[in-house]
Amino acid sequence: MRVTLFLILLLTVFSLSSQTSKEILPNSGWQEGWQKGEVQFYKGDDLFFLINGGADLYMEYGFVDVAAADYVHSSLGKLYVEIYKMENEKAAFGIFSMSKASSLVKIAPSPWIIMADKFLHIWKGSYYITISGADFNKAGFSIDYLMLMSLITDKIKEENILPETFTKYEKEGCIYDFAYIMGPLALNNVYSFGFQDIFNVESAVMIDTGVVKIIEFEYSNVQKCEETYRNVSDFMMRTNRFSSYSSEDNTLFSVTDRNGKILIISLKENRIIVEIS
Amino acid sequence: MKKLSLLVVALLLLSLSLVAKAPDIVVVKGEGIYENTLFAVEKMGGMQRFVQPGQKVGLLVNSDFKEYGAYVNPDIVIAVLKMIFDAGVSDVVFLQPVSEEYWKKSNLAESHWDIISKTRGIDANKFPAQFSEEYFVKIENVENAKAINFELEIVKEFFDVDVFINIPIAKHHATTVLTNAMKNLMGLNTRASNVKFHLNGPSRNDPDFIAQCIVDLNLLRKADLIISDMTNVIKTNGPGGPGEIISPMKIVAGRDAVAIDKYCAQELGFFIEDVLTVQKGFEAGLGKIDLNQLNIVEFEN
Repeated sequence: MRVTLFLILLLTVFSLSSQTSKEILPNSGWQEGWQKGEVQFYKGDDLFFLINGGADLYMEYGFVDVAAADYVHSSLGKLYVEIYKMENEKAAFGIFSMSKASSLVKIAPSPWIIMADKFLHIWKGSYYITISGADFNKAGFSIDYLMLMSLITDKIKEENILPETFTKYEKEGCIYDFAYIMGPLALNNVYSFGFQDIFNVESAVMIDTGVVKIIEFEYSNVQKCEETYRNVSDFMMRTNRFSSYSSEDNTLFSVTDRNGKILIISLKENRIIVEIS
Repeated sequence: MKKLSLLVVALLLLSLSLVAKAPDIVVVKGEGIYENTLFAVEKMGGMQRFVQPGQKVGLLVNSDFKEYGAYVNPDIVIAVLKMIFDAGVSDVVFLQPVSEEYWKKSNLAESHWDIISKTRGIDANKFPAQFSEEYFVKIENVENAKAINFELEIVKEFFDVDVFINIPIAKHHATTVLTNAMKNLMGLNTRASNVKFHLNGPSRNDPDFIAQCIVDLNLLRKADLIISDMTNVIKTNGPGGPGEIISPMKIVAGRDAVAIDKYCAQELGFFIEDVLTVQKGFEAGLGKIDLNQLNIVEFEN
């Protein structure tokens, strides 16, 4: 009996992890009148054939597969859905965090939704979803739109697991903007330290409080972190892109960038914290 | 007879001096994007300096993005169309097709539909473009290339048009930092060729390799005119956005892709050392890097 239960559990876990984005796309008739168009499905490097500019960022986070389709209604118009399966929850959270817009809706524990002009960006588990083409002026559209979103997110049985570093700042409040970074391309999107990966980025959170921008880098071990810190310190002391280098001790220094912003950089165990103000 | 000859020589010298005095780069700042585009080209010597009646013109417009600040403002393209049709060209082809949806983003499209509808596009080069013998050509060897050691697949008509006008938007790009005049030429490639720029380097998305590929691509043909959109552009999270939008409200016109890219990179606050295409483009002889050597004329309307 125990063995049977274990096998069922194992099969369930396996079927969840092997679920592709294609299986999550609702079929025609999910609501009266909506017809599903041809499905585009890409894996790995073939993502370059779906995204015109920016596929490299998805790759950096860890991309698995994507399914995309139009849904057409004779009177309500057209919706376009893209479902990205990323390698894990953090990767999906990261790519979601790059979708900047004014309003973020967090449904505890999931999904998280960003509403933009005619766009919905959704994060649930290891999936990042966009639904575009919204025309809220048309009667009946909003209900169908939300129903489609709900159908998609219900098919994803995973929950949102936040990186610990982000949770820490979230508890403190005052987050005006945020990003979760897993490589140099994403880092370049929030602050440019140059085209070389001087921070040897593994993961980092960027928190903008509106007054100060904090980038907290996390490393898998203290030794790598300390070595990176020394290299960063050395780079910033020598490069002409920063000035006014000043070091308090072996764990803290400050520089000024060419825009006059002051960067305070500190080392704390396996973390490097950059405060930009 | 002698007097007539002297008059001809005098006129010739006068026209030569006018050409010599034409600025290298014209920058027009202001709210009226359509009017400022017309003004910028007028100050470059007028469209008749670049196109002649009966010629075939190829346009390359960065139009294929959804987010505001990530695509060229269509008012700029409409202004260019007005000028080239007024100059009497016979054929205008968008080397990368421009969608109907794109034109809907301009309030001027309806009143200018008569000229927009006279254009045609290479539909086969719609993203993600695939090679076909009819519309693309394979280039096995790009002369003097340093990074492109693979077969390129390029829109055939790029080589057939009499005049090539490049219309990029100056904005952020996560890998190349700036995308503008030089990088816009990637819009002529099939998707398979572009993917090689990203993946055929010593590491995936190697910034140095991609920059060199872009420069190599530009060796194939220089633009006869570049009109760069630096009005409302994304400064972060490019090339697709959404990102931080800044509004320098500038139209930048010229013929030197290296100089224009350097000018725009500086104006957008990017570190020029990070925009690898500028130094590499200069080294490849694609243009000037010292802006002090150029006659850059700025206007504010």
